[in-house]
Amino acid sequence: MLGLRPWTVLRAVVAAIYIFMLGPIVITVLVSFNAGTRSVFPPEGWSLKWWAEALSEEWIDPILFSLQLASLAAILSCAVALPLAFGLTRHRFPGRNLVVLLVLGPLLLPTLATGLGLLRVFEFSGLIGSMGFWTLLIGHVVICIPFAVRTIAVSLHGLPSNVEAAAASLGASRMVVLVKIILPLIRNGLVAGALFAFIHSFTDINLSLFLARPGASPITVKILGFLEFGFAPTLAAVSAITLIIPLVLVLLVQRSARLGDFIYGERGA
Amino acid sequence: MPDNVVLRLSGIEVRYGSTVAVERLDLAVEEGEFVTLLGPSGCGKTTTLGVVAGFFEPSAGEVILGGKPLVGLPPFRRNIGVVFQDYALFPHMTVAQNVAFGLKMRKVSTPEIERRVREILSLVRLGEFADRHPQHLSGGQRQRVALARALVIRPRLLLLDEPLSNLDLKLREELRLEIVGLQRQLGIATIFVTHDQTEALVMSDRIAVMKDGRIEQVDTPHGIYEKPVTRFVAEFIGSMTFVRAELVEPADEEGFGTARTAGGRIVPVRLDRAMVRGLPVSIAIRPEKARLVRGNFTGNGVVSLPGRVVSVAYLGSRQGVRLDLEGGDRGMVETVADESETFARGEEVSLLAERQDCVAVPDSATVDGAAAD
Repeated sequence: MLGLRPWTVLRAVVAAIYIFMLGPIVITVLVSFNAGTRSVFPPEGWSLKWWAEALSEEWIDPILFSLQLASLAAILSCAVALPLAFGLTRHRFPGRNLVVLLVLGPLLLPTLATGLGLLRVFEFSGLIGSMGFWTLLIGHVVICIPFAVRTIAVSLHGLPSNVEAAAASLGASRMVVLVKIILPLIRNGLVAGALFAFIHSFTDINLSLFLARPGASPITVKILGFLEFGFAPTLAAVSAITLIIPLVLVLLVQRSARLGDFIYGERGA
Repeated sequence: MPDNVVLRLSGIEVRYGSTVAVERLDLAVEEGEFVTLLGPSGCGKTTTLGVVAGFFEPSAGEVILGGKPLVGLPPFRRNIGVVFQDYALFPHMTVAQNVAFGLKMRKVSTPEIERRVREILSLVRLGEFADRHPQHLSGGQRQRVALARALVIRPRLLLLDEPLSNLDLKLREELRLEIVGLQRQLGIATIFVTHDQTEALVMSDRIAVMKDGRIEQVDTPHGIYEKPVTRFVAEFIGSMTFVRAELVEPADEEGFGTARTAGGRIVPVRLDRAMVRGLPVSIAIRPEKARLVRGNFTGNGVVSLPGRVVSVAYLGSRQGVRLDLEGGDRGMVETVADESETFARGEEVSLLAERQDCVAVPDSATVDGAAAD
């Protein structure tokens, strides 16, 4: 009617989606280089002073805190997810559906609910007094497990059939089969699971709000707290840093493991 | 002979819940022997192989390899080489690493590993592929790597689970000969699982035909082809004319008796085992052993079964004629395609066969209570 071909329309829609997704991020990054004291767009002149402030101890400490938290959460959730994924993909046992539900629970429930629940548990168990890094870690592992279980299970499903039997017939014990055959073959799933877990933990705010305390706050909680005093350009710079960290990580991992397989579900690793 | 037995399976039974995958199976494999488990899918042949390899535990029965009981021993302690239908090569290792895996598990010294890997790879003509990954090999090459990997550990027994089924026909025929050649050269006792009767006939010293978790017959390829003991065995190997009948006279001292066909004719039949009067049997006649004549023929000493031509298939030098026999059975005759021997559809003919080529077989191994041996 208007002489528009379907592809033109599709391109326009895709472009619009990208603008909506990336626009705010670009604006945030640009605002962080603003010379003025107000967060306005377009920037009123250029300056690096907000970046200097963002790189000060006040902000770097919670960023490092989040980094440690996310790294440990990623490793621990993979360590828990590996046997879980094995059990769920290899065995049919009574109560299997319940385990599936429990594993996926944190994915289906609002994280706020999980956070509230964990807070109550810590209260009852008397851990409330020693709240901080370790309770945050426990919480983050819980919410990261579904991601790791999912990618590891996908890799396990993709294992070529009979390789384990072949290795066993050649003299490999179950432990050797695990270390020499299975782990190398599901490496992509493990790496992807750890990465998704890391990002999920690093960007989490909902759960952390319940479990953080002063002096033991992830960067997200710190940012939210600061926002109550208004949006200073410092925040724009801090946000940019928290954006760069997962992005760089994804790019690094992408070089060795094909993450697309787990996002688009094309095929097992 | 008993001293010569490498592997003995006795009374093997495998159950999954209420279904029986393998039932009271006995089999002995001699030193250097090539034994084939032949049967349709789901007959329990792969399960039997898995029991020997240690992938499944039998619910009952014994597996004795080289005098030692295997049941309860995990696969990695059995010293049995296994080759799978889908090759099961380790994709993250090169050809050489794949082949070396079993030797590393046995803590063989590095120079010795290198020597043996090189030796076996040249034996399967893959010397120049040592550093490739399996993904970059053809199906036939992959299967030869799998074979090398299983053989390099010098196993007590070699198990081949449909190793040729994923390959195309020409490659299959080549690899058949290659596998048998290697097996003879190394003198290693082998169990081969297949559903392909030609493979079984060409490769085996002995064939065990399986059905529903049982062995119906164990014999040489010649014995299986010429003297099938059940209708199933006769049906599974080659094509056959089957005429439903009932035993009238059991075997005389020469092994011949008589049977009454569904069409009411009394015909002489060969009986390779004891069967009782009145037993329902099938008279099995190989297409190449039968002849065709026009009209209703009656003669002495030959079996004559009247029928009508259904179709004629031209096979070059030979022709395959399908018949509707009197009594409702289907007939198959393969004869020389001769100008004087042409038959038209609908023509009245008689299928002729010598009595020694008409084998009466019971419809199941257990009908008369005597197990095939």
